[in-house]
Amino acid sequence: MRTARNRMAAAAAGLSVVALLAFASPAAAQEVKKATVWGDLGFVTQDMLNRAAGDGNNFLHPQHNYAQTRYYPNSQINTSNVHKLRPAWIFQTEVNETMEVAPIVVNGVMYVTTAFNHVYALDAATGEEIWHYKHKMGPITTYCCGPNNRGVAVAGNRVFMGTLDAKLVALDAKTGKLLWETQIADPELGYSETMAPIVVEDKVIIGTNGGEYGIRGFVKAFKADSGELLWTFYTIPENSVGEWRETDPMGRSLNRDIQAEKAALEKLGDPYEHLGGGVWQTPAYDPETRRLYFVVGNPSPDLDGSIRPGDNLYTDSLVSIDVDTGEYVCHYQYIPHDVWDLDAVSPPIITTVKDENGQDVKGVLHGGKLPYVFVHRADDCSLIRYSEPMVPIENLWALPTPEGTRMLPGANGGVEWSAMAINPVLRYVFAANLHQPMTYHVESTPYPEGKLWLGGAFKVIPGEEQWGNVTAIDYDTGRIVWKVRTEQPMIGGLLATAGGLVFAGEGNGWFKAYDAASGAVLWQFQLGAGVNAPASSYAVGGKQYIVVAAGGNVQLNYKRGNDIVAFTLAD
Amino acid sequence: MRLPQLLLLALGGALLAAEVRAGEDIEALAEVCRGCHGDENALPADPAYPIIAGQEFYYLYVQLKDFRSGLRENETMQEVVADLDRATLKAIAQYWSEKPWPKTAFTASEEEVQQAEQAIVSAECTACHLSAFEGNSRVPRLANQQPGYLEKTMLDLKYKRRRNSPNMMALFKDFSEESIRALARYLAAL
Repeated sequence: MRTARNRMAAAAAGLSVVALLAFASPAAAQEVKKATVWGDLGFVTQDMLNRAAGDGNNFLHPQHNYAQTRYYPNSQINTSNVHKLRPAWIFQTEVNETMEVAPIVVNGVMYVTTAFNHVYALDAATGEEIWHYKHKMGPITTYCCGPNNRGVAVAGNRVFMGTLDAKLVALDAKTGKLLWETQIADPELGYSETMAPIVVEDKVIIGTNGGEYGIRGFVKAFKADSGELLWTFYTIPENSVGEWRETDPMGRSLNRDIQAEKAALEKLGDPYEHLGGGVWQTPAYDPETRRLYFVVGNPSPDLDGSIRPGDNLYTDSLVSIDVDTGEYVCHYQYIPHDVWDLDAVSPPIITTVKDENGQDVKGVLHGGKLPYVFVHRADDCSLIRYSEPMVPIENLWALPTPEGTRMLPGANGGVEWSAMAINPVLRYVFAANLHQPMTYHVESTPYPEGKLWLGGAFKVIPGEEQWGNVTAIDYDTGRIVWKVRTEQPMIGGLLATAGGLVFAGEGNGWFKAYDAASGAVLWQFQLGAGVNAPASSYAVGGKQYIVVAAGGNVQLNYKRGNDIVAFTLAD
Repeated sequence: MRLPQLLLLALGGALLAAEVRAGEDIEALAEVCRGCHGDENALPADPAYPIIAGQEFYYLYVQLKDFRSGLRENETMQEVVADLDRATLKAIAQYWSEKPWPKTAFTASEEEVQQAEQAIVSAECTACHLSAFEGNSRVPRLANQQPGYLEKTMLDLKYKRRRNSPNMMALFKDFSEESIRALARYLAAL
């Protein structure tokens, strides 16, 4: 029989059980995470990858989504509250060297890479380390512009990374254990990887570095479960000569000596074998048409055109290929027979744009070293318009000379490899720019079997003013809407959000939030090392974060560091 | 070259010729290198000879190959490696790359540092040689290298006496001798 005491005890027990349950539910939620609308914990489905543009919790691609808009669809952090943004956590990697990584986040797990190919999996809410993979680097690595890495691709329960010794590795997403690795190409000849790969269904797709070493560039597709090579698209066709186009997209003369080039072609034959044409950054993908869009880097050797006659296809071009077969669909070459290393590097963006008649069409945007934003039709790669120039142009297309010719933009010009971002509501594209005056020197040397081969040198002009911009351009008209100057040339990339913000970092350590509509600086934070990587965003437990790497940069010699820093709103 | 080195070289040459294809007994081969280049405990015999202990493996290997083929010209080195096979060159490069870099005490003046820093900005050296000039793989370490060797090498590249790095030749072409000297002192003192 229940005494009063027992009843009270029972009641107390009952209460405490209830209390326990109440306090326990967060813990219980952690232990038993249910499958979300977007998929099981950790497992990245193709559906998730396809729908990433609408995903305001994860950050599944280096440019957020296949279209590469870098537009984050979460407005919890917005123009009215961003002034309350403060660090949530700091993770310090083992590698104190340049960082160019775009963090990937899958259901609260963040994946970042470092220079020299470490991968970390971190708890995105707390910054604590889950696992750490160190690539066993071979003795031969080749890179012109820093031992950096731009990040991983995720699909299924795997994480993929390209390495400086030209390998593609697949890791188990839960444990970081190596599942397979494959040699993409021979590093002794100048091939290596710094880009983040892309996964489409059963294929991991990756380009290559090496345009400074006389490679023959490509995009390759490997089987995601085994690393077996599926197809190769050479960015340099065997007939690389093209149509002998003598002008840039604006109609200005490139000062080519077609006679001399044709004579050289007679003598030397088609230069395709060592013509360069790396693909530096992740391709965009259109699941509707099943086409990849990417931009191709400079011809080899960078400055000396005398031994590579012809247009040098498809260097300095936007190219589209079929994802299933790797076959060519269309291209647009920005600079035929480039001798200034003004190659196409910044990752292209697929979005709806207005054509010449004001009609909406599927378009592709690219920001060049030639400092314009180019707007193309996606179906045939043709150019619709180009923007106003974003940084000064001087003495354009003056040919390099042995003593050195000053020309603007310098070879790190315009947008360089920095990722752009769009706000599709405003229909603006945002770009980080460089103004870094240089002289171009040419000196002809024969192919040096895998050594650095610039055909001359670029010299930064010491004592001359350098600076940068964050520029917003209306891509339906090409007009510059706003432009904010920065103290130093910018390199890294931008993130735009549905909160009406644009996040951009600078080499002096400042990480800033701009108002997307006006360019007003609404928030900034000093990170202590160059912020030369593009930011990502994600949400955990309903709280939005902005995360960025601060490790400096090799090309511009910004202060090195080893931090990943996540920010969130103060309570 | 001084007499002791010549003798050592002759001895070493004989030794190498005998051991050539075996690629074994790297220690014996290394003795020959030591004669001129020193090791982890001793600086090279001459200010114009490079420290090789702790240098990047792939860079050392490529230099040895280039000496052997004549792409990089140096009478002494060409003799040393003339009959060595690939495996042996790799082994020598591997051996030295695994040693620690010797302790050095080179200094640079304030003026030299300033001049050097300007040159470094202009040529973007750290893009390949990395921020502490520690090098990696095919790109050599320059930090704490002998200033005499650095100066000689940069001048050799400038005047096209050293021809196995076309890119470096183009880069130094219009560097003044003065700034090369400053750069050499700066790098040695890092």
